[in-house]
Amino acid sequence: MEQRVEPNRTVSCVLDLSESAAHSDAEKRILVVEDEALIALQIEMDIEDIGYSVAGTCMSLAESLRFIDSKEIDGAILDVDLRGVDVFPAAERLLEKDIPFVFHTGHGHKTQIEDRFPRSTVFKKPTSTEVMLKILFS
Amino acid sequence: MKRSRLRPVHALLVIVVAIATLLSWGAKGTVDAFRADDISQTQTTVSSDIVKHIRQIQLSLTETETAQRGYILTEDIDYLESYENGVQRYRDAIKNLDTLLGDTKTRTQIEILFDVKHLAEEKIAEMVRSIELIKDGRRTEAVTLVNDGSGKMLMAKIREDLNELYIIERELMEQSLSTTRDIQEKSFRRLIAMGIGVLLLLSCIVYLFVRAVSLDQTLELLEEVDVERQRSDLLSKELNHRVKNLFAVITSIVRLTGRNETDTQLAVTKITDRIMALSRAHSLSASQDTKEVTDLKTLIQTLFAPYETPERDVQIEGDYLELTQETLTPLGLLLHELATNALKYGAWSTEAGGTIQIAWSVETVSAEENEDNSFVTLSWNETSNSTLKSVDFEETGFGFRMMDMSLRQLNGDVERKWNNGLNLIARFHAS
Repeated sequence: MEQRVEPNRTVSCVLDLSESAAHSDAEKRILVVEDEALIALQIEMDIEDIGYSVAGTCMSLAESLRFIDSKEIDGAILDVDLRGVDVFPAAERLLEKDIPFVFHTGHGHKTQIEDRFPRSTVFKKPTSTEVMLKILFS
Repeated sequence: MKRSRLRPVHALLVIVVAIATLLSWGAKGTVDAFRADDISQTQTTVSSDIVKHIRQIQLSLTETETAQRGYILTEDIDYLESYENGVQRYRDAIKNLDTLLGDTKTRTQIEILFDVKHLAEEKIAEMVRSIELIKDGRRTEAVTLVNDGSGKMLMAKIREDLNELYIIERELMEQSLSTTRDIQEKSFRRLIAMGIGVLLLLSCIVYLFVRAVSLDQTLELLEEVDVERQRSDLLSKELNHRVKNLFAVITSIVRLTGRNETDTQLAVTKITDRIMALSRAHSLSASQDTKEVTDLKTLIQTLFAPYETPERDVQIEGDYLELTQETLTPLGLLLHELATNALKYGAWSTEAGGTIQIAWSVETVSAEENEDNSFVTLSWNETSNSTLKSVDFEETGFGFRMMDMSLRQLNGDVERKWNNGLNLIARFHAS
């Protein structure tokens, strides 16, 4: 018998603190899309240290799309390659919703991404979270 | 490459034309030689026949003269018969000679032949007269006729003419022979040239063949090199990505550990331990293959090797499970955090030590795109040889948060409880 084990991801994914639509820096909710656990954790903690809040962390494209559709977010940091899957559909969704985002990639094709998303900045890994956030809300 | 591929075809065309020319030239030479030989043989046969008849003419005339003299001297009638025979033989011979010379007679030959006929008839007439005189009994007159020397002179002239005819024929024969010899020599040279040409041709063909073969080999080699280069390009891209990723992970380790540790010395130790664990895990992926770099058992043994003492026992048991490169960082860090935790709070935290049992089972579940997916259930059970202080998981926050994150990365989750040591069940996807 085929058994598909689906761990309870959505719950662990959600770390948002408030549903209120306040706009002070502390209330700005950032989505982290990153498939490397440690990097995700570090970005999460950096975000908190800088004074924003983490809307959640997603490690796959499907998870990210679900999250963007169901949660309130003010900005996103996107890793490009998620276990071999491009993050671009999630970026398109963010564009539709007019939510700002930046790319944080370990791959070399920076210009390719910039051509496709001319309004978004592409950062090479590792870049300090502070720099990324500054650009994200500039 | 196109140029060098076309060239042999052109060369081949040139060579084919060359061989055709050479062979037809040689063939013509051979045919010429045969024909010349044929002509010369016919000429020789005809000439020797002519010579034979020239001799016949001379002999018959001499015989006739001898018979005439014999008759005049002895008046024996037998001589007359011999005389008649001689005349007859002469006539036959001269007729045959005329036929043999046929249409090919030269002017000189015609003149000489005419002269010979004329002289011979005169000579025969002289002999007839002398014989008639004997028959009439006028012997003295007959002897006078013979003795006046005119008959002798006629014979000498005839002999001279015949000799001339003979010489002409000999010359013709020699001429034909030398022409034949020339043609044969020429055709022999042609045959030698042909032989050399064919040899050259064969060398050309062999050369072209060898060239074609070596060209093929070169092309094959180039293709291999190309494939190999693409492979190594891909590999270096992959390695480049891995290195960047590891730098990012290491940066995170440093930042995260530093953030959660106020004691600098301790922070440095923790950072070093974590980086070393990462390094040991990734040393297993030094193989060229990007997939299936090592197996779970080897990974656990490699990570726990530095901690083992007689008091710190590890029992490892589980199905064979191949790991991919992407799983090394989360699994390595997870296992490292568990070991560190055991050293700090768990089974290995006291001098009496204890045992850690690590066991797992692997289930193959079919995933998207028909790729098999290994789902692993791993249990970690600590048994301490002494009584341990109870641990509040919330207090050790950061380490466990890291474990949780690592398992999330592996699309899994974790359950843990404290029972004089950590009892943990982790479920995750290994591919």
